[in-house]
Amino acid sequence: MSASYKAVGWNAFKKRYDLVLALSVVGFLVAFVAVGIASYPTSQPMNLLIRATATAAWILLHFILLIGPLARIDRRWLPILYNRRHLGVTMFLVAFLHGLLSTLYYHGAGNVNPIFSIFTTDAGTTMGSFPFQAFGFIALMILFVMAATSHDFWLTNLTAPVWKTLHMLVYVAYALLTIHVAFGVLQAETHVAYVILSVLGLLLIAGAHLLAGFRQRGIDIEHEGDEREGFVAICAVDDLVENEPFGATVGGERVAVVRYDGDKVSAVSGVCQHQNGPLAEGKFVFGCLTCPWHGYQYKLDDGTSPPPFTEKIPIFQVRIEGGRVWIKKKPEGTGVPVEPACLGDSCEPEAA
Amino acid sequence: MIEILLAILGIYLLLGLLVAVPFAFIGAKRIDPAATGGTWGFKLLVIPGAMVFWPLLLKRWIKNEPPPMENSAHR
Repeated sequence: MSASYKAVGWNAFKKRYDLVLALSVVGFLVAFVAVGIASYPTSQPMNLLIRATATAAWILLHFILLIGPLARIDRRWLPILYNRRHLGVTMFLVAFLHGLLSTLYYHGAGNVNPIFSIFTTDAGTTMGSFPFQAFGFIALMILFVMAATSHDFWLTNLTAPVWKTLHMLVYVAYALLTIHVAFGVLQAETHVAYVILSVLGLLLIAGAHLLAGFRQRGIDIEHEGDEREGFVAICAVDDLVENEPFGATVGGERVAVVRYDGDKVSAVSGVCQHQNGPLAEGKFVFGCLTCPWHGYQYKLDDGTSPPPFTEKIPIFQVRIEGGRVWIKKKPEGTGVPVEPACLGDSCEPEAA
Repeated sequence: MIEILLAILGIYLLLGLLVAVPFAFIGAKRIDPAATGGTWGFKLLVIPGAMVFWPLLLKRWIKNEPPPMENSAHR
């Protein structure tokens, strides 16, 4: 965005979101420790708190990884996706608390540096010499880098593709943490329910990603059918529903096509400039195509964000011929005014 | 071996902290116009990330480079 940076761009929704999140996490930790003490009166409160923070962070990580595909499968998840970064930072803070308490509790009393001790000595609770704690430490470092670069400043200064790649490391962290859990706590807690829950979590994440990916394939298939004068036919006119963006891939890039004001059709890049969000899955509101992830908006006459914002996305020429919608493979550029194509008789002929 | 790697990581982050604090208050607005007038909260939030990416930021700060432009087809 073009306005000066703030720590958090608060609005009423984000405040409610964060309040519910904070209360949920604190409530979970308190309940976990309370139930633990009630069920096992001889257990150490510190040990329970270490378990509680680990469990909370593990659940949050699963939830974070599920939101993206779920929002693509069912749009009702989009409001949760909107503030996912706060979920991620919260998850890191809870995981950091787990790491800090574990390190102090299991490695703080010796004469070896506690961080070195994580890598050189076993905590003595589970799998003998398997370095499951090292996997947790490396995963925590990845989560730290992600949390530290969650502000939009980093998106601008690292560029969206680099930022996005960096944040895809969450899957590496998830893999490391799966090993950390499997060779750590699951060796001590041998009840089959823990194994079933862990496998279920993995299957849920994998299944949701596969399902969302399968649905996305329809948009990502290159339209290589009819091509004339640099234009590619992407769909029939009847496929366009007014004010509902239609996604297609033209020239290897995603495009969002919108029919609006009754008989106008425009096409812009289907990739949001903010976090590469899927614009074709967004909404057309207040005359702008709106990204479903964080609400970034673009005008359809030139692909620019309404003032005072300065984002720009490429815009494409559109033709309506033979009852089909044709998109020019090469975009006109960013911030370039392009006349919409017209379905009816009210438009200028050259626009169609 | 692991002790050496962890020591290098520690020194890297310590140097990063030395760069990150002045960067958050002075350097950020030199390389990114949107950081001009940034709030205290923003400046504090930038510090941990700057500890990680300090060589890149220091280079751009010294050269007064603006935010990079993307070259992908749709930018």
